[in-house]
Amino acid sequence: MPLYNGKAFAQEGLLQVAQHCAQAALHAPQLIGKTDIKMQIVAGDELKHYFRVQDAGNKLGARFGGESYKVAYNMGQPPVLLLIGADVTPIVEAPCKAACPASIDVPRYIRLIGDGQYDQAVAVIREKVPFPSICAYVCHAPCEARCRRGTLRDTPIAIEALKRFAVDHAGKMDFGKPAGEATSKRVAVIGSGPAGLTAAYYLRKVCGHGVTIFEALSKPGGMMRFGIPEYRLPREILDKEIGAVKALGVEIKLNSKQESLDELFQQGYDAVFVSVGAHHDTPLDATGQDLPGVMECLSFLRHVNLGKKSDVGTKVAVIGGGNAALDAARTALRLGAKEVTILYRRSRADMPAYSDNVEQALREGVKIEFQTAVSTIKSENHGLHMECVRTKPGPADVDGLSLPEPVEGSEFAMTVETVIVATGQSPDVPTEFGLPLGKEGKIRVDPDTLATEKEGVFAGGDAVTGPASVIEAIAAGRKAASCIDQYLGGLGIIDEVLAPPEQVPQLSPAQEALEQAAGDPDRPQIKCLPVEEALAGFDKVDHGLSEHEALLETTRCLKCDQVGFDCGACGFKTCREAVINCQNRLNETGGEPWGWLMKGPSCVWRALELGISMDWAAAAAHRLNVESRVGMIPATAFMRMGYMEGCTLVTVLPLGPCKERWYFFPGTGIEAFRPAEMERKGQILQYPPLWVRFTGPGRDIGRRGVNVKDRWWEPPYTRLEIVEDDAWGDSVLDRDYAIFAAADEVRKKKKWRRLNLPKIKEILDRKKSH
Amino acid sequence: MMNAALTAPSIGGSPMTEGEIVYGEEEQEQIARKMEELAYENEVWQHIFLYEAVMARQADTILLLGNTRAYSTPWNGECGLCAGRPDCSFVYENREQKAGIIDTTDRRSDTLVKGPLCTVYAHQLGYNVGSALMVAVHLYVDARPFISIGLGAQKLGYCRNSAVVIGIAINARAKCEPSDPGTDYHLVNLDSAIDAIRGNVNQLGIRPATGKEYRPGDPAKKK
Repeated sequence: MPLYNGKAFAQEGLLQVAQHCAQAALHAPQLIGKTDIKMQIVAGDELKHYFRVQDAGNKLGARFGGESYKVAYNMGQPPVLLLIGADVTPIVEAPCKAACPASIDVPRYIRLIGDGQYDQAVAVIREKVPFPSICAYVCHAPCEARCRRGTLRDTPIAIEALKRFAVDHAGKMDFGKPAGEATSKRVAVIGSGPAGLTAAYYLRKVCGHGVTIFEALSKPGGMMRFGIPEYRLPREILDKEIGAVKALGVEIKLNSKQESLDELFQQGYDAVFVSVGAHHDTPLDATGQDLPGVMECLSFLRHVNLGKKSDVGTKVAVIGGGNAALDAARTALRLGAKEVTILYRRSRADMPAYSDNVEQALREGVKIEFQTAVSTIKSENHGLHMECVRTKPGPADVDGLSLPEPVEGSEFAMTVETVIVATGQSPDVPTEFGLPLGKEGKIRVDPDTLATEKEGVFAGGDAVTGPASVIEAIAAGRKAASCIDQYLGGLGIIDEVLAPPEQVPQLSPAQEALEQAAGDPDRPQIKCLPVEEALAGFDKVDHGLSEHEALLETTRCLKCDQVGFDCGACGFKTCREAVINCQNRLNETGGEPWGWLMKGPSCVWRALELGISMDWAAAAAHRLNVESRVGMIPATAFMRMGYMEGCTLVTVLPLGPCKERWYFFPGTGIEAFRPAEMERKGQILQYPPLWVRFTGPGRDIGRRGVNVKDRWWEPPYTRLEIVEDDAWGDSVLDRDYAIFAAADEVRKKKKWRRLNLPKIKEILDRKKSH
Repeated sequence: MMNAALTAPSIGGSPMTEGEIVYGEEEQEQIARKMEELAYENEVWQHIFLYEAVMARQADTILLLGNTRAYSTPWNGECGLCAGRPDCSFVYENREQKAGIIDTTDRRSDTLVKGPLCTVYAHQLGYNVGSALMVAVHLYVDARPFISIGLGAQKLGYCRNSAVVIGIAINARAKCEPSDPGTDYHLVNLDSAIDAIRGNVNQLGIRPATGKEYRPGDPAKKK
């Protein structure tokens, strides 16, 4: 086999060069350390996508370069393109936002609370979750675990308490308008838990499909109603937020256990979302499970949450260490138990229950016996005799958790009246559904689309992941709604803009509160009901923050979403102003770079930092004697096609398969511009021609200006022409739409996130002069 | 490094980079003092400017690189990277200008940098800085780019045609301070630590070599 046959070796080698360049870019020195460089390689036939967008734009006067790419491609020697880019807006992704499964913009709503805009803060939360109040009461706050103030050895911001404060103090806001145009598609959702309700909300409100939820129980809410006790989630809040989903036109059929998916399709539903949750208790690995007085945790909680009477006696043992175990223990105390003991076979550090829940339980008098396992339960006189043993950590299982081993000679006994088994939950998916199940009865789905192997059936939430948090179920519901909409022919875009454009206040209420405060505020202590009052009923236990506490707490936020240099280089006096402006523009456009090559505003330092990386990649190619030329305009076409998702500034480094100086020079792909041809004609370019553009709206030149009508590399190089400003603007807008439409075709083919073309057209048309 | 910076890839092929090399105790001291003066203008950057001023003093040489077009002649590439429409109007609207020609004589500013700047040209300056740093790496010389040094130098009149300037501190010492600064580096740094030890030694009258004689003794005598 020849070492180099003119094509194969060159391509293989170039891919390696591209990787080498990518490594160099990653190792480039940082300037501010707040720019996440992203890279992607485009090679071979993928270039054809670019040519389509290039043609669509250039026909209408765009200046997408890279003709030489096409010439080389047609010659059978396509270049390899290395796309290098980053998000260079003033908005830096904060760790709290990154940690949220639903990507709620935490710094933004904290900022709005500090500005006294509680309604707007709730609107920001609602942009990502349809149940802000439920989320504020029961979320386990993964954001707080990642809060940078916490990781810097201070206490994290009380994000959850701030969210709760916002929803408690916001006025009445109407978010419940369904989509403008209803489709004729119908979706059946099985299960009315957080995943099902979320999917139904977006499918109905944003996508416009008809949605029916089938709930097996007598009330909607799933685990939020039957698993979480009322003292953690007041029922009026749950009812109010479920009522908002119903008000959109979502039908909820109660006491409707579904046995067959095929029947639903026969009834005319076009897609089905299975979100049946994980309502099956895992049996105890000990004898005596079936004795009277031994209860399954979820059955017990469901019984109590339905308002039925339950007598647990005075002495109760709960086996397990999850949130369900804690909830069962605290509920037992409220039902009259005097002594409640939780037996957990591992240590506190391994306990899956939220630390907040554990603290509250200990405060209320629940005893927890760590590293204790139960081997036998026997019925004895008027109680249950439990044989227990202390444990020690053993070898790790597949999940990395140590398997407890009994400690010899540590056996002891306990006598109680009731034992509640809370050793885990698993999904209980009817076999009639015919869905392939995985470990512990979880439904197997495609992780990218949540589609099951059955056509038109999607699944999400606890039924797929096993028991998880409410916010994770909400995130699954969002993803399912997007995927189902795409399956039904929609764009799969479910993002909403609900908060109005943000204003920059002169002096925010939070700043005023800070000025009056005696010193730097500490994380506030949440006030709770006295234990006696808490145990007397099912009233909510913690009171939340006062307004003064909440305002002060917002001032502790380190504002990790801002570059934080306040230099003024971007044109705004502070990074805060820049972030607000940027957010308002992203909201206005739905995040699409409509009418622009790229998105702004930008932080110049982040753009500069990206430039350093780009240069290192180019230098790496240069060092290897590989022909390259940094380009910017072609990269914008790739951005529109869905490459480099999340980047606002992308540059392209084409790596040429042959060492010819002319290779990537603009226009040299055109036959007449080939060096040999030009030399023959005596037209070798001595100097780069001048590219002049003096016009554009916003300049102080009245309504008329000077414009270059043609691309500068096409002779004559500068043809100046007087044009009307407005006419120039309109043609640009038409051209931009053509580019978007061509790019969307590529996205469709690649099954990537689609562009919201109707919205883009609407915005572009609105900008036209007429 | 300067040659590499000036021959870095260029957006549009237009010349737009200027650079200066600053060395010498007095010159670097001036820049460092200017940085310290700027430090107290805003709490946000105070700490950074203070410890980086020490690095400006400690550097063996400072390379300054600026972009001459970011302020006065934006790219005109319909990019939309700044906060306005895709026609550079955000830059023009925030400047005194006639027929698209920006009046650069108005140098008043109530911010550290007189913005808005053309983002693409700031990005371009990244290419120049990157090329200079690449050469430093090849020469096994420690170098790190600083916004603060560039700004301090710019206020003193270095790279006077540029709106955005980056200072690269170049160090040939064994320990590269800028790459791993300690907390409160403007107070506790290598120089001040050595001085403090010297001061203590002089004040307390302690001899530099203290403790037991490190040699175990004459082996011959031991025998």
